Amino acid sequence: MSGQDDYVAELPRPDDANRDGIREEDNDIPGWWWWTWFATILFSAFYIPYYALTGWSQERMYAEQVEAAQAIAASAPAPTANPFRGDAAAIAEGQQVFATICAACHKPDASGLVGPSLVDPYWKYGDSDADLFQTVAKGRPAGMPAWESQLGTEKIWKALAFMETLPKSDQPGIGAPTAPGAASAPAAAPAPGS
Amino acid sequence: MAWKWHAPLEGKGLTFSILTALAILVGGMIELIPPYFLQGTIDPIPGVQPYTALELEGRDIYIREGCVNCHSQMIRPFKTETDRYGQYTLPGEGVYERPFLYGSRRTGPDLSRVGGKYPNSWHWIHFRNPREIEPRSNMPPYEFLSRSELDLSLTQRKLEVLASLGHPYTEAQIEGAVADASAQAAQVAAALEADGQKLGELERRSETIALIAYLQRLGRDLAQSPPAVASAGAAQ
Amino acid sequence: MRPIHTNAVIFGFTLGTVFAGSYYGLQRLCRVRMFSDTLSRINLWLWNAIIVAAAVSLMLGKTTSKEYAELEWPIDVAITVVWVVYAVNFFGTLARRREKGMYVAIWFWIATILTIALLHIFNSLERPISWMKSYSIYAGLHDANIQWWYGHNAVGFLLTTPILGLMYYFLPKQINRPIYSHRLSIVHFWSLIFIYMWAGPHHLIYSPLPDWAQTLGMTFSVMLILPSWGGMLNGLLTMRGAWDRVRTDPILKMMAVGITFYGMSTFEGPMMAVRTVNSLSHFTNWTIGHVHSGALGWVALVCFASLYYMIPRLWHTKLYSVRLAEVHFWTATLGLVIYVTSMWISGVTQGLMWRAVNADGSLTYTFIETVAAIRVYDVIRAVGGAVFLSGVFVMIYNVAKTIQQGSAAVPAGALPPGAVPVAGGR
Repeated sequence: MSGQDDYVAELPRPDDANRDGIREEDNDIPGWWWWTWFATILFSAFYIPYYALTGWSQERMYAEQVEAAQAIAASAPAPTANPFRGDAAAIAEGQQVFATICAACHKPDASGLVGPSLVDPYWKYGDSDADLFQTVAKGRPAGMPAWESQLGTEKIWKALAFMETLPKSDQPGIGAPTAPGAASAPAAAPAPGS
Repeated sequence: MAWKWHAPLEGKGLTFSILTALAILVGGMIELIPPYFLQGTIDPIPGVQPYTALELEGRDIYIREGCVNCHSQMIRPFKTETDRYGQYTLPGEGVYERPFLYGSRRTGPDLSRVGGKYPNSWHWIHFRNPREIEPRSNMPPYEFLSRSELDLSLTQRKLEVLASLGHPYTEAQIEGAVADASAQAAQVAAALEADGQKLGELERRSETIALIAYLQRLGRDLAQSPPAVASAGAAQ
Repeated sequence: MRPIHTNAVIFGFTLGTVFAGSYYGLQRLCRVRMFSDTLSRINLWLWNAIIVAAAVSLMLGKTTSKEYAELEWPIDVAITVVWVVYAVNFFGTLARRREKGMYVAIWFWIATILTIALLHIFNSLERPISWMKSYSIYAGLHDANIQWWYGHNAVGFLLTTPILGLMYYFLPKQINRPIYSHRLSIVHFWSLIFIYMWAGPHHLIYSPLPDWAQTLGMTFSVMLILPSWGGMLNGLLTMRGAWDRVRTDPILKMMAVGITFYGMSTFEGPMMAVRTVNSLSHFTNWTIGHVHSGALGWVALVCFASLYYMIPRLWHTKLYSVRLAEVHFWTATLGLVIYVTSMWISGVTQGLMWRAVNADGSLTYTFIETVAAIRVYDVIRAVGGAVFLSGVFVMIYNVAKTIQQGSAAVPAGALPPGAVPVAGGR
């Protein structure tokens, strides 16, 4: 390139200090630096066998968590009648649950949106305490998710206790067999090309 | 001086660069190559099928709209995660995932098992305006997708390329990609109308439909191999 | 939006500054003109074209969705071209150097060039569908494994090693003191680049990746702490005995705080890789906070310092206002602290709420409750970000004024060789 030597002339001369004037000392590396580094290597030397050789695996860890949880669940059999019926404090809590979870599909006044109305006289899956609990806890095929693992039994009962207090309607609401557009299941994925 | 040996190296650019290259290669090779060939040891999961043409288009919309920035598709093996989302992610699930969509943060919930969790109409409303379903949601509305017609001009080519990468699409599926996609879209739209949603002519062929088809597929392959993965509230 | 943000920061700002800084430093350290001015110009214009193309294509939704590698394949090809141009130019200059030994900064830039080439090519292998659409040749888990090998090491070799190079050049120049320890440079350079490449799987802890690979990724992350700290140590100890100057010089202040944040986030990172911590922190805002303490604290501050050093010298003038640079330093530091703290708290809150269970083993909170709980921290975070950004505007003004008062028509023969690439550093 033209003028190249001009540029170079501007740069430090060979007899100047090297490296554009940057000097380097060669002090000892601090002892603690070495020791801490060895400590991390030592840590790894224990960590790897701890996970690799003791039979640990994330699947096993998970299985143990599930077992522990099942033990807890087994010790408390679910009641068949709503234990919170009429309990004002529990109903207030149930209202919270209803507002966060159920209202998304059933609307805050339970008149139904994506999910059916819960205040009309019609019950798709039965209206005994046990049926209602089953519906919420285990879910139903038309799109009702199972809430048991997310809410636990207590919150489900409280939400149901709240739901009973909502003003009822005697007209068939959304989702009732006589209302337009009975709820349908989400389209199952057909096999490719079918 | 213990460190004198290094000085000559500092004068040799090429040697220095070669040694640098070697240093950076070791770690990558040890971690990348074995898992690639261990593919055979990953449990084959019988139910896992490639996406249908429409679902594939929906997935590409999911990618285009950057859904992965806020929604993960990887469930870790903790009970608190499987309770919330379902069966934790398995290695053999991803064989038709190109690219992978694990994501790296959850501004919104994990979606890898969202298929079948809500009815189509829930998604339709939720895409239109998430606040209609959940007032505290911070998800932006995606109503414009329902006004944007689904582009199927590349669908067949996409299936061809994926087939060349090893996805088991048959000739018939590749040939009929567009017809299949349209048929499935009509199916989804019909289900929406059965649920009481009113769809315009354009909306019935919109990108939202493909996206819903994709979302309703997520996690279903595992759940469908009966008995539905029974443990710990999976596949809710 | 997020990919635009990450791409602009990493490839636009950081890499622009790195190109500029390494061109500037390399010529002085080798005492020769760049190998080819034409290549330098190609590098500048093509790179800026790529940044524009990247912003436009991402806004149009053309993305591969692989983090920090979202750009579609034609842009990937262009990036490869730029990188080859940069490499040829760099190694060409190196080969013609009039200085026997290569200085530490050059080592780090060599590592950057080689590693990024490797990472970029292997991660971007895609089968094109059309001009703006492609599918990865890897599927699922393998794609994830490759991606995080790339993603992690992109952090290492785009946001760490080249910045260390900048530090090793500009810090001693500005402070006019010798680097503390050459042997420390040797040890931490080789250990850093060797160990770094192992740590990628720590992004996939508790994923379906085989346990042994996760364990390796995790342990190597921990072993990486001290090699990373070698750079911090060398930087901070170079400043020893000159702290009075650090107090008055905004460039040195930025270096000092930047290096400290480097030390902090290279300690935080490996901690987050430990299985126990990761189970809490993964998928939360904590990760985002960590990224930003590295990106804003370390990368941005050292880049700012380098720009403040280079620009007045390139235009043969003095910085327009040292006081404004001082303002920039304080806004940046303040914004950073607000930002990182709020993200840390909100990340831990998220993580704890996701895993909280009732006595009967059921989950305590629904997802939406966790969203509502961290909203306030998102606001604080935005404030922190805005404060940081205001500092950047101050810098842009300051730099523009500096360039204005400087003379473009410098006397013949005195034109600084780095002039061309600097315009590329936005």
